[in-house]
Amino acid sequence: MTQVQLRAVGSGTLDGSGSGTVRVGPLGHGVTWLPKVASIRMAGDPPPTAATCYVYAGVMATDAYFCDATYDVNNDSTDRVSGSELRLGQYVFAVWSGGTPGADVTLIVTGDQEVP
Amino acid sequence: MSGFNNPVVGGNDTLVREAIQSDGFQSGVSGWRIERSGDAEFNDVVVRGTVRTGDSGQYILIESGPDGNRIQFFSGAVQEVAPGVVEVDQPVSGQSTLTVAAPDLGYGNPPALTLTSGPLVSDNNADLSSPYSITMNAEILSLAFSQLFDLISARINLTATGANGINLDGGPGGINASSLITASGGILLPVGEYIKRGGLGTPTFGTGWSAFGGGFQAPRYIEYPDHTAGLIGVATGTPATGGTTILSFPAGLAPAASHTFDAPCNNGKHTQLLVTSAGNVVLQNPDTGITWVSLGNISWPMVGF
Repeated sequence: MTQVQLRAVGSGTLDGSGSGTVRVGPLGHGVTWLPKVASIRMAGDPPPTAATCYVYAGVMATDAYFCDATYDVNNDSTDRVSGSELRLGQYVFAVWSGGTPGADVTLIVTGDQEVP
Repeated sequence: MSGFNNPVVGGNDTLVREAIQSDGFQSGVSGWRIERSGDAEFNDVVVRGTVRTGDSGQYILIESGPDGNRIQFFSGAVQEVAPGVVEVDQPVSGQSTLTVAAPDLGYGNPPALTLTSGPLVSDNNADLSSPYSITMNAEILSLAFSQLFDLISARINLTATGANGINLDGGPGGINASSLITASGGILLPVGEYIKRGGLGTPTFGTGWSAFGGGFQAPRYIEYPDHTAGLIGVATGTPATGGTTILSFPAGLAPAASHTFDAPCNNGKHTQLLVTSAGNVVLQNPDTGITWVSLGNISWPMVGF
């Protein structure tokens, strides 16, 4: 196994209600992600009402895999994804709610990854 | 870094936001909100255990349990050894009680007031553990109060629909009324019983007059139960001339206007006795040489009769 630096970027667009999910994860068999920081971005001005972005690490975006949540949906980072070991079929999820409809969003995960 | 810079809930379970709230929260209308200051607003709350308000010394506990639901009041007084309590209970099937108890502030545990409703299945008499108890129950035939029961500025209406009526037993102390008793249907007394009068009062003698003595009844005034008053006894003294006041009694027992009576005296002599509205008994046209006067058989309607 070889450990190399991880920097994965996922992007998407929020729907008409300001909701949307972006996920990134290992793409090949035998690859293991060891994420340290997940950063989320949303282009444009902050939404006028309270918005949230929840981050999960695991097979799905449910409470069992919850890591952290923020009110600053435009630009914030968390290290609460560290400790996770993600393999093929597992992801880091960023789920926006109450964001700006149609806004571009980005999830950036950095850390290490082990490759065969 | 320890999580997001602007997290919904911070690390170590500490709320770092000013507040968190539910979607669409409107104060007083909908949703919930928890503030970092400690304030919170919810819609409906279910608390399985005890609710406590106040500080460590003066607080209220709301709790429910197998012995009933109750609210306890802790005043924080240093001499308080037991809290005040309001308790709702259902001691037996079909019966409910509301108990109010004041705290013990160091003078002994005061009796509680208990209101009980519902039928007593096994006992037609009020078998109440608390001396301050009122039972609203058509089947109860008697109530027993072992301690003083005061109702200030209140009225008690007792209405009996059965043939047995309402029975009051005052025990050795009797039934005491400090104000007028009105019986619109009259008062029926059993054979041998009578309406008792008050005690005998000692009058104030006029100058030179006193009780005759020698085993005769000393002069006394009497207030009779029919709102009349009278005199008894034998008085002696000098002067024994007309206009001499031989004794006085309280003006409240006096007649509305003067009354004149004939009174026997020594050696078959007589005198008139004038009983005035001021409560004075005055010799009037006495025979010459009288030394004593009998006050018996003298009575009059009191003022306001």
